[in-house]
Amino acid sequence: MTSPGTTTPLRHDRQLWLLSAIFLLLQALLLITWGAHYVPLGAFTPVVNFGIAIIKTLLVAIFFMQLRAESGLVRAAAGLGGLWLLILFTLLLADYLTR
Amino acid sequence: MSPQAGVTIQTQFETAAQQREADQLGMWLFLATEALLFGGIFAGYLGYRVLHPETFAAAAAHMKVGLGTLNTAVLLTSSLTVALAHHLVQQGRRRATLVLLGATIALGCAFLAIKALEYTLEFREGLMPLPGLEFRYDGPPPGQMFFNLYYTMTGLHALHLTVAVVMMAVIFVLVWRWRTPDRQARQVEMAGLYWHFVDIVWLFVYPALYLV
Amino acid sequence: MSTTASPPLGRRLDTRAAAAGRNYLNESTSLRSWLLTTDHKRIAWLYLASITFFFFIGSLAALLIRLELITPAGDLVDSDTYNKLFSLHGIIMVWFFLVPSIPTTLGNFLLPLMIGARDVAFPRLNLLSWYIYTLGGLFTLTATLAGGVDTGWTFYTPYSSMFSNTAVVMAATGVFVVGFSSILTGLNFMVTVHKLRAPGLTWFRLPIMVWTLYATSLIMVLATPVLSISLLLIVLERVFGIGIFDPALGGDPLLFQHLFWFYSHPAVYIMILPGMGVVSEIIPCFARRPLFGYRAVALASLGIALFGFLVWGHHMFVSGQSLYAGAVFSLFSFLVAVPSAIKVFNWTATLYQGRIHLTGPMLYALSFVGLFTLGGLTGLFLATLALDVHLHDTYFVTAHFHYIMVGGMVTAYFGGLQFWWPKMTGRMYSEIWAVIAAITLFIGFNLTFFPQYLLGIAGMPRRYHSYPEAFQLLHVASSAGAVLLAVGYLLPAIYLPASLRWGRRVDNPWGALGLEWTAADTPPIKHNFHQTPVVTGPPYGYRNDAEPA
Repeated sequence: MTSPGTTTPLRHDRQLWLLSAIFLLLQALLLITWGAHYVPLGAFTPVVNFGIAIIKTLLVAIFFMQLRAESGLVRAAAGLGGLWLLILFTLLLADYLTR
Repeated sequence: MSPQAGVTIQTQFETAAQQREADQLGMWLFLATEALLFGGIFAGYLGYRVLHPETFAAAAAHMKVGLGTLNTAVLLTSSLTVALAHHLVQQGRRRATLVLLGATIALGCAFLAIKALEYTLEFREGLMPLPGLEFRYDGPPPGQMFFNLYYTMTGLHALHLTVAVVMMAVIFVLVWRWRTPDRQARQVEMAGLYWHFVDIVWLFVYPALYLV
Repeated sequence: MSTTASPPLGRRLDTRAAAAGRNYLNESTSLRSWLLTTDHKRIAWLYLASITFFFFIGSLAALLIRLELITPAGDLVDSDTYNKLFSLHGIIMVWFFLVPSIPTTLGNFLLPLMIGARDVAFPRLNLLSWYIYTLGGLFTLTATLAGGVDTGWTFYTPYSSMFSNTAVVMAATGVFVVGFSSILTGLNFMVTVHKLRAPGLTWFRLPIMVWTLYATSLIMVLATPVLSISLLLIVLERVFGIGIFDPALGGDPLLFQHLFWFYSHPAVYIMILPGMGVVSEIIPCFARRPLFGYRAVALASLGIALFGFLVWGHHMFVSGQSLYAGAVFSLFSFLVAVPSAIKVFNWTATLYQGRIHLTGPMLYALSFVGLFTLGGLTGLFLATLALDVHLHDTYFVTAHFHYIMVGGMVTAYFGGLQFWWPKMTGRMYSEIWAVIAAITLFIGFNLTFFPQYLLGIAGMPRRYHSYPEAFQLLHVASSAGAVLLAVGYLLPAIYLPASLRWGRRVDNPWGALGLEWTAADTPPIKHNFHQTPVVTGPPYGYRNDAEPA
């Protein structure tokens, strides 16, 4: 993990490169999802759009928010919200999809 | 994390590491509650989109996709500047941190300005379903529901971003003063987590409303 | 994460306090030292004072409701006033009494003591929670003074968003605000349990009270935000006309019910889990036996918290949700009965071959087990899809949830308060009066609410201020019971404060175990322990031959 005094200049540079690479990846994903808007994908449009949104979210959480350096406990707390959203959406759709 | 002169360990903790982990856990739990707050309105969006798929697609055709995409790019860039600021403040590099925090605040304001421009354009087109305003959308009624959701979701997001910008401004002043560098590093980290979260919310608002 | 050698334990050894006989109550006495305190034990008292106030207001509304229902005709209050009375009763009792009751008072006081910590993880946030609670309370009281609100505690749309012309915005704002108090308390407790346990205190050495507070906190953190957003949407619709639930725009009023119950059903477990925790502490102490099936009871707490999120649709069986969804929710609702039953069986098994001491707190705990069982079993009736069509919105439902929330939670709250009162104050109250109060409560409660089961089966709908004459006998019995119940609640409000002046000084009158009794002074000092305790064994090390002191 990155903490003052322990980071060598080499690791420091690597971190900067990593963050920049992730940033470029995110922008590329944005271009893909934007482009996909103009391609008739039919029922797959939401799948592609929200799939890319989830990938972007994971990238931001893991690299920008430094989840990769955190303990399992903090990672679990981060996943908790997502898991509970899944419960909410699934059971809600159990009603709306079968009306 | 090594014990630092600048970090005061509060009475209830034994070590700085324990205190840091508690802060971190608390912040992430808070973000989980925020995720569920937005989750409620997203759940509504999901249900309604399932009920009225065509009318939602028709109404979404009125969205300014270009501006929405630009705003997504702006927010992603601000996330990078925040992440870099967090990285550099830990190296004790005050000036670089200040530049990056300043850029973050500027990008946040840019997002809000573009959002305001969008609202203005929609107001001119008569797409604001507010009492006292003329609503000129001619599609079937669930189309208005789409606009109601649009203003609620983007409005709630903009409100959160405004809070984040104000928070960043405060952190900017604290880093400017540089009284206790180690504490400032923690403050940048905490405010940064919140900033990233607001960014992530937008990552879902964008496909939900602009790319239907 | 790199580690460093931690400083020696108990580095803040406070021998001065011990020598001077000082404790958290007398170390400073100014009003300011109370209103700005960050000591979890004092914050517990702040909450105790405010929730007692709201309990009285909520009870007053309940008494007026029961008075009105003595006669079949609507003669005491008109129907509008009656609607406002049961709304006020529900809103106050749910959000300003039941949800915060045990967690913020006993929980705040005990959680750090039970895990060997000096305070909660975020003491200032803890104080902030109390101020937010108070602010929310002020909003709700303002709504009452501004003419009241008539939507019921459930704020169902489209009535609340489009038609009711009462103070809905003010009341919803009050509940919205108090939600944040709940969220912050839950967050604080979760971090505290994770990060501040004493050396040696592994998860399976934690008292059940801590497990249940943790499970409660989990629900508070994950469910409350969804309530916040649904109330916010009602306010948006009323103030700005942005109708998210408006059927004319293709909106679905049922969406509100979904979001509301996504919070409010788990919230039912916020309102019972801490009571289960209290009872799990009291029963082993007065049966002089270790809690039977400790691991099962501990895990059942988390099981209830998790399953609680999967069942909300059973409130909507007759509201127009899809039949398939109804069947799924019905199935999950039956599953919640499993962890609940595990608990009841284990409490009962703890009593077996125990050396039972029928003290005041023990009578409350035993009442809890009986009343909770009855409330839980009738819940199975309501979870049955077909039967619920008949019972929905009748007094059967009213009786069912009062058995859980009042018979369960309020009884546990009074029992817990009296079990730990000596710890909190260093004084012993009149034990004979405690026994009388517990028995009065048990009889009064059953007299009030058992007739309501019968009324419900006979077809009496809830929320009506007049009824056919055939129902009068049962209604009169219920109202008479309410008076007895009120006496049961008022007695502790007399003898507990009286003990502060006339009670004898005690240390551990029950011979109870647990860090709060064995490792801390009575009353505890400011940061709880002279030296951080080290835990070496499981909880509930009671032995049959040990006598209470």
